[in-house]
Amino acid sequence: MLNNIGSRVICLGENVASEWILGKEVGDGEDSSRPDSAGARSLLSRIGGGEIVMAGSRFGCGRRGREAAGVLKKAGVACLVARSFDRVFFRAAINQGLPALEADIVGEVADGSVIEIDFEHSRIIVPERVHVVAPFPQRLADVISAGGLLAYVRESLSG
Amino acid sequence: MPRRKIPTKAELIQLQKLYKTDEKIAERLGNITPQLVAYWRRKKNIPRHSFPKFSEQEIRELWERFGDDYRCGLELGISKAAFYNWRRKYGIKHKPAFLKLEQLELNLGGPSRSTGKRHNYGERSVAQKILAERSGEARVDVDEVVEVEPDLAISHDDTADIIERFSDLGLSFVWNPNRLMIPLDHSVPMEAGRLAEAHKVIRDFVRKQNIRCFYEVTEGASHQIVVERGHVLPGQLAVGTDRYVSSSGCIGAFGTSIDETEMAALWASGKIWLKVPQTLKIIINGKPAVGVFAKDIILFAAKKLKKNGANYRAIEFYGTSVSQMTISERFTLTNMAVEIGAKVAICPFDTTTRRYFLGRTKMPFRPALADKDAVYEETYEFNVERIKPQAATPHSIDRVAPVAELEGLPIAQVVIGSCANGRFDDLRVAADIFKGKKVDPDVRVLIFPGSRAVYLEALKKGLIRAFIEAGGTVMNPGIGPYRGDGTSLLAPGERCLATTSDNSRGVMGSPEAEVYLVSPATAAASALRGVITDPTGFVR
Repeated sequence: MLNNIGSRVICLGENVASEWILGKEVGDGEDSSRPDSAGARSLLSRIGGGEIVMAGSRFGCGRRGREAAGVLKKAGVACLVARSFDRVFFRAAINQGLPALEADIVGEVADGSVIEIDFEHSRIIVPERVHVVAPFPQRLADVISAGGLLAYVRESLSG
Repeated sequence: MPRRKIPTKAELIQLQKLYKTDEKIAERLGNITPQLVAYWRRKKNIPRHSFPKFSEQEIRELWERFGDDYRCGLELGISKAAFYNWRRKYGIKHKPAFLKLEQLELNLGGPSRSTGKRHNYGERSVAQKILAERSGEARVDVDEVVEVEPDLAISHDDTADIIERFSDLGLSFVWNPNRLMIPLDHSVPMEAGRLAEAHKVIRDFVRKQNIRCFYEVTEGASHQIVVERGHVLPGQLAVGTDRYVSSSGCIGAFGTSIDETEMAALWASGKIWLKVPQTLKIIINGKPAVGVFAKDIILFAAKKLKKNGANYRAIEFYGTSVSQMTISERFTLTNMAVEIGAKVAICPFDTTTRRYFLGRTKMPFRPALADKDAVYEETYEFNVERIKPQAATPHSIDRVAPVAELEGLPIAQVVIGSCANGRFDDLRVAADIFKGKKVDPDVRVLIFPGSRAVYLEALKKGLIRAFIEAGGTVMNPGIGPYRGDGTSLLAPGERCLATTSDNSRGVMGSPEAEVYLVSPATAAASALRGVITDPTGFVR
């Protein structure tokens, strides 16, 4: 199982589109919440390295899920937490070694606060309380520990 | 030389009853060929011996087992009335003397004796059953992550990229070349030299790996071929790098899409991780009115479910409407289900599916049917008796309006065919509307048959002629226009009616152009008039 991650949290809203993560125009029909006021910095500029990005439903929706996951991984995000993920974005994140945990706590955590994610015991420790979340699947933890899907396959084949 | 003794008519009939085929009769008579026997038969007006489809022993056995016409009929893929006729033919009139356990339908719980592991109570949906079988587990729960070995891995022109990633892993051979399918359907004809190179790489790879299931650029849309040729069977698991792999769900299989890196990993290890999805149940009841087709039904459902109403879910289609649909119409349903976010869409196995495969495959298969007490996340019920033809308006598939409300809007282009509606019956509907008439001179009509087989059949039945005489252009078989290809670009402000499955902004060139998704009937009727037209008056 993955090691604990304790870090600062960046809170986003509902339906955060992959195009928005990349800083591009969002397609029609995808609303995207911009928690900062108009003209504020994009998501990537807020990430220094090691943050946890938290969002609501359908995190990573849109057509560029794969790119967006790659970009977030490269920027050094430690973990993604959301009420629900877009499928392509979720698979891309896991396969590139970026943990993505499903938990419905985005409303209860303040942007910028420090939280700790305990994968072993399936809980998230925020300043006020401890949330119990759905356990993170062991198989996905194995893929992430190996550093991504290709590395995992290479390892499993070399025995 | 003594003259050969020719049997009389009565003798020949008796011989036929005893020995059945011409070959056996010839053998019995000695020194003659079967062709001679056939000649005698023809001269005496004796028809060939027809083997009854079901032997008496089969019928009697089933009857002893179930005692019920409906259930026996289900086993054979015929209706209960048909089974009764067979029973009557063989003179089996009375109920079996000893009632077997199966006939009583007792809910004793636990695995049923007749089917062993595959019992009907376990709260499993079709998706759960198929994933459990392929991952080797007894049972899987929703949201669990399992490692499965798929029955079929489909990749198209992007195989060149996958090959690159695969060779990065340092391996020479794929895990099982018989489970790979590589149809080239995206870059037809070649638009760039780069693609020609890519295709060469793919062909070399296919040869080296000994991949039998390779389709050249002439064959047509991958998903069409998969279902047409029975590459995926009911109860099997298929993964592919294209978006619309779930189309194979129309025959009761689990089809889902993965990306190129995952495909390369799959080629190497033979396994891929999948999350067991929640299942939505969609029940569609009612007989649709004349002029309303499967496309209209699924657009109507998309309106209710919204663009991502089925995100990461599996959908199972039930209802009287679906059970009356042909496999081709179900293909439209499962193909479009991807656009409402579904990961998998399945039309469960029934007699229609069984009949579809009777002549199509010799491979054994075990269909997966949902448990009677399967747990669904949500159930939606629609009655389509009174719905009218629908259209998805720009630029989202859930912005659906009845075509009647859009009548009169001028159009510049009509696309009929492609993956979602490219089968023979779709083309036939359009051709019947075009017959003897000419399309509006201001409208470009492009027709994309789904596959080479469809094209040939359309040619034989005169549909291609009808299209060309009406003024349409028949394109090569394939997936039709998709985002980024150059076959059907629109100028800003132009409006296109298409039977494809994607109407997002910029899918056909200019972001200021408008694409409406409609059924082939609506597309054809509108092509004749030059404006969006309700097809109800045109379809008989």
